[in-house]
Amino acid sequence: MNQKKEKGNEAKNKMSGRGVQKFLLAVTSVYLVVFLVDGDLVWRGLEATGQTLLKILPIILLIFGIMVLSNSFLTPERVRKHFGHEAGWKGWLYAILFGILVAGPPYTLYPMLKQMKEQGLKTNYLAVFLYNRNVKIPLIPVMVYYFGWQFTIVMTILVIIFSIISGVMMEKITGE
Amino acid sequence: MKLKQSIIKAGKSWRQMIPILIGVLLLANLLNEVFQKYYAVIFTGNYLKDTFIGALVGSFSFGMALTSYVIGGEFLQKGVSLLAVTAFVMTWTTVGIAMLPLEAKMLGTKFAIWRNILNFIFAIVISILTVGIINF
Repeated sequence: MNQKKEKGNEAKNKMSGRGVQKFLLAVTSVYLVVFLVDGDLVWRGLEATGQTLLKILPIILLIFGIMVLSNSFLTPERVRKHFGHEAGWKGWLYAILFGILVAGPPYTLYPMLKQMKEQGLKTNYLAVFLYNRNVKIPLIPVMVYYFGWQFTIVMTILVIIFSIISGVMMEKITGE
Repeated sequence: MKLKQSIIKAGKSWRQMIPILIGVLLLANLLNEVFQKYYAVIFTGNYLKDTFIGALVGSFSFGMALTSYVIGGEFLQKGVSLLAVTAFVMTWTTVGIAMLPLEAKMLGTKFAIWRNILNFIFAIVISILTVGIINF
């Protein structure tokens, strides 16, 4: 039974490996085509990518460290307790706070979230967490500078409310 | 779980993600470079159309939330409606068309597609509510 499952996983990994290769080939093709039309645009795209990678490198290392720690200390039982079916209203609260407080672009957090999902993180809390990435405490003064206090307060409250609606709807849609 | 096992497990997740992340960043940065040229002329002056356009441009753009505030502030100075700018700022962080392949691979295709669709709709609703409330 387990052997069958392992073989299935191997085949799935090979398939997704091929998918990644195809995707990278498609990106390279896009760059080659654009290079023929506008070479300067390609260099700007490559330069911006390099800069983005340099910028996110410390965050990647930080998330890697958190993942190692959470692998060591965060057992599936603990994840299920705080972010699983038995979490209740505390699960919503933790997901909102976690979304607001954790730093870094959402895509750098995907591996950690995938891992937590495998350990029992519910879909609704995952959606709530990702939606609250829009509320960033250190950026509030910047938002106030551009859009004013009233705007910042109203939008922040609405984001938190809609994060919960998003969580409820995502749970219904995905059935998880 | 032992430390060595923990490192190996975390490393496996990143090994899967890094090639896609680089591909997506290459694609997103190329799109960003193209879009930036048209940011100023893309808005029409029509409230409803501009809100939709703002949400759409924000969905395809990506980067730090801070950048969206700065660009949004510039839009406002150029006369783009607050409704459109709010939709733009909202979708910038909550919808990620460029990051969709990465999100689908890591968190599941169904989850990624539906989350982005819902967030796009919510961004427009939140924009209308925010502007409606502060103008009330």
